[in-house]
Amino acid sequence: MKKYQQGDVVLIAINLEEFEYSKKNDGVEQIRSKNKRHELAYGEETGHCHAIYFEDLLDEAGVTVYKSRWGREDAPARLVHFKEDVTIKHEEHNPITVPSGFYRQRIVQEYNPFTGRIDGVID
Amino acid sequence: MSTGYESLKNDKYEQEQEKKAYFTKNSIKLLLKNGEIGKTLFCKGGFGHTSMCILFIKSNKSTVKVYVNSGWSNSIVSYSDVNGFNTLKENSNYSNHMAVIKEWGIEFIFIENEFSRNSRYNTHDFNALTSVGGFETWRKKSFPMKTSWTIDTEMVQCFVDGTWTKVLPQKSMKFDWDGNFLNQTKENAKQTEHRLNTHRLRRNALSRTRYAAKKSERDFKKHLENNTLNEFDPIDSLLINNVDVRAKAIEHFGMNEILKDLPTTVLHKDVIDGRPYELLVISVPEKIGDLMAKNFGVNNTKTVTYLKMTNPSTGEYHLESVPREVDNKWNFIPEETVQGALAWRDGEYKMDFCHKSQTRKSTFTNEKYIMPEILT
Repeated sequence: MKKYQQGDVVLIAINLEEFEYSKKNDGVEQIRSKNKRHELAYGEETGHCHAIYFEDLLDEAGVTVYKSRWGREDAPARLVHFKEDVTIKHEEHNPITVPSGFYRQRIVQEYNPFTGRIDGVID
Repeated sequence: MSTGYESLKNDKYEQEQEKKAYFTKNSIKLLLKNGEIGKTLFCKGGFGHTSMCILFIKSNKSTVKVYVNSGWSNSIVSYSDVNGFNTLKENSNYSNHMAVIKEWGIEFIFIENEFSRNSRYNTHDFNALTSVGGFETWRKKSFPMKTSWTIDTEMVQCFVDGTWTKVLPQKSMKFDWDGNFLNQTKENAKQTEHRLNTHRLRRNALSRTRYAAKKSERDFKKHLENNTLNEFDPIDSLLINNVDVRAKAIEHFGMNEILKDLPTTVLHKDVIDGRPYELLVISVPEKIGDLMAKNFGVNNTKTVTYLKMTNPSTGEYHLESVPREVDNKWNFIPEETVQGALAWRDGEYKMDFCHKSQTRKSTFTNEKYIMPEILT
């Protein structure tokens, strides 16, 4: 299993079958790009964003991003499809180049020792 | 003065909605009153329980027994007779009845729950039966009772002395047709009161914790803007929820300054792909230890386990908390090493649902940490 990680965003390579299955059964919907970039995860507090910018792409439509249908508007992506190699950028991390393919996206989890809750990390 | 279920019928719309629920309620009453012994009434569960089959059997002159079974198993009643009367042919699939209906109301018989640590009785069949009837609003169902998950326990919502409240389930629960709980034992009343009181205190503790976390973050940002960070207690950095803000606080004060008065143990240290990681156990001071709502009524450990790591891009330290088995019995790091903590953090493994009799260690799947191709 190949994994790519930028800070709290983890991309796990999956095959087409798995991708299609998740697309049908995981309750996801395609999201539109905004601010001339495809946003993978947006930090509400800091305004920092893991994103793929149009200027780095040969074809702006070469990236498809899916997020949970029932999540809030700025919820992180769940599934992504890159038709070409892409560069993911973030304000506090070095850019990473991810090869084309199908990916499942995860946000790393953290335990809050004071409330006892387990959640994706907040930034 | 009307009490219980009757008192809720104050609206014409509600009365109309209620008629829909009467279909099943009246059918059951009709079976009880006029049905011959051996006659049955069959229906599917209501909203959320449509896969369940519910069978009412007139077993003697004044009793109807209720059996609940999964819709996937062989049903003894033909589906063409749904909601109609039928004669019972055999009952091999229905070993135990879960409720008895008499003229005064219904008695539920709960079975012990083997799978949950907190809920003593299994309430799944109860939920299926109480879902029968109209489901536009739950109070218009044939049986107005329902269950409610309260922090860590399944409780039954019903009327006790005319007040809609929550009670812990007991082995036998009798309700009249309006949902009034008739046979609450003294022990049950005492346990329920204790449990509700514990929940209230725990809820308050959680609120205090959330308030303290927000306050420390707000204070840090305020002092950072005003250049008055000397007025901010470095230990409060541990309370900040936002990892970026917490990392800034750690960067400003320095890890040594924050941990200088706190007894710290290094559980494990490792270097992965040239990056140093440490698994630290920190005993937090009383000031923030009292805010650990998770410990309320559970245990009194005031230690926190942190994974200390560096951001490979900026070089700043990050402290991210991970749960050990003493912290959280349901979801914890597979092994107390850096690799185990990283595997948990990245969601590399999941804990399967485990039975009491199984050891938890055997239920981990794929607990190994997978090294990323690229990490920044």
